[in-house]
Amino acid sequence: MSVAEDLKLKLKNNQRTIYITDADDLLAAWRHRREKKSRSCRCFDFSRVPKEYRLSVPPNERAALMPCHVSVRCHRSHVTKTIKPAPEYSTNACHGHDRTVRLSTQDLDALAAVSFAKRNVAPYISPIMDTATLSLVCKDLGITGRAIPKVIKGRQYIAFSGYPGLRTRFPGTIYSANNRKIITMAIGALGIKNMVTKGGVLTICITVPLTILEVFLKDHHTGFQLFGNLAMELFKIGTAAIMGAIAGIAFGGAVTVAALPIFITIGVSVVVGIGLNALDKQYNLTERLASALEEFSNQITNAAKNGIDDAQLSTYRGLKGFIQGQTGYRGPF
Amino acid sequence: MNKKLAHLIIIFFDLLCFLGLWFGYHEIQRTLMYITNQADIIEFGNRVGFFIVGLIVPFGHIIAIVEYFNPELIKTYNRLLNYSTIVTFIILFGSGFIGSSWIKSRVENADYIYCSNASGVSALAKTLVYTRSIDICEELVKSKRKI
Repeated sequence: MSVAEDLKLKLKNNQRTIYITDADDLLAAWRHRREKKSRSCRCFDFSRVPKEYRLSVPPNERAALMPCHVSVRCHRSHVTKTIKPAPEYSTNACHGHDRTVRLSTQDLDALAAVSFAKRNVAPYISPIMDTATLSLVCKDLGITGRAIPKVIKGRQYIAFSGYPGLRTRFPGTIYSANNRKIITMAIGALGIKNMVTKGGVLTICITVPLTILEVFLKDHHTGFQLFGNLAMELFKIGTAAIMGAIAGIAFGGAVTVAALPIFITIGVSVVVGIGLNALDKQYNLTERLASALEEFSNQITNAAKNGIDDAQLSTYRGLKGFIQGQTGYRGPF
Repeated sequence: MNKKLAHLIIIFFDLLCFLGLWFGYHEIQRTLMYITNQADIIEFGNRVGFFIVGLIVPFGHIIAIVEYFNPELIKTYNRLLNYSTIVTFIILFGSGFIGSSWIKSRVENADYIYCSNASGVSALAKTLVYTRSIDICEELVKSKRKI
């Protein structure tokens, strides 16, 4: 099979009219790149295709060659070609990693916006807030600041090292562990707990509406999938936050460096979150949960239906017996 | 918190982080193997490289152990230790980001097509699915819908 036929077949297999319309120009670009034998080259618009190769007249030089582009690579004397998909399949994969695509607001549909927010906003809110707290602690206590937990007469305190006069947020030398300032700045066990709780709640408050919106906007989604997704999201966020808090509190008890437990809390939360996501992917936990919920619901529906049938049958039998007893009728009902 | 209990909990987290690191390494190796074998479907997390951030826990534990046995040493090198903690944290996060981007670019350079409809978006990470062709992607999406 010739290259052109192969390419045309590939385009045809995509079953997209738009590809077939521009196939000739795509072929021209492809042939041009192949003859040039550059190691890695990409054609995005007509400006890269010499006039002698063109098969149609573009509206302008910068007009898009295709909804996407063609790549030709020479790797170990082998020429490989790639036809990347149209943007509705993937903007990133389509336009390659070297090229950013400027999307106008019309290009962004609601689902893309929601998915973007869910992917790029929700997971970063908590770590950003924690990092802001960390920077405040480092700024006030200094990079060498130490917070030493102490128990005096059964009450927990946090003592700071260094000169109190140099600190703006903590002008004293010793504070009660449940002091508002201490808790806000995520120092000590209560502070870490407060930081993690706030971060977790905020993440949940952002994630849950976004997940619901995403499911509403997507086709082929059921209520069970929504509940499965939500349950798994909440489980993952909660577990990551709790593990981060435990690690932070343990480090707070083991080291006196004020900033280290906050670092550890952020790090452990991130790693545990990614780990849980990887496990979810590995064992398809969300899908299994959704299908289990669906199955459970079906079982309940069937049981209820059978129950209704049984009740109807017993009523019928009761009525039949009553009529037979009262009237002596033995005929068919 | 009792220091010994704190150390025991940290040991648990050390093990957890090493397990995570091993898992991340295994994931990356598996993905590279799929690329070499030209598998039809490649599935990986977009933050698979961030498992390396877990090394912050053993690093912090070393500081805690040194402080437990020799607090004077920590007092002497306090500034150095804090700076090294921050630098380590930044390096680990940077490595995680670079590692994740590297594996993604390896897959894309191997002429795989991103199958967005089969990919999953979670609050904490995204599962990326790449296929060799659009047909395989469509088949995969159909089979996932059936589930």
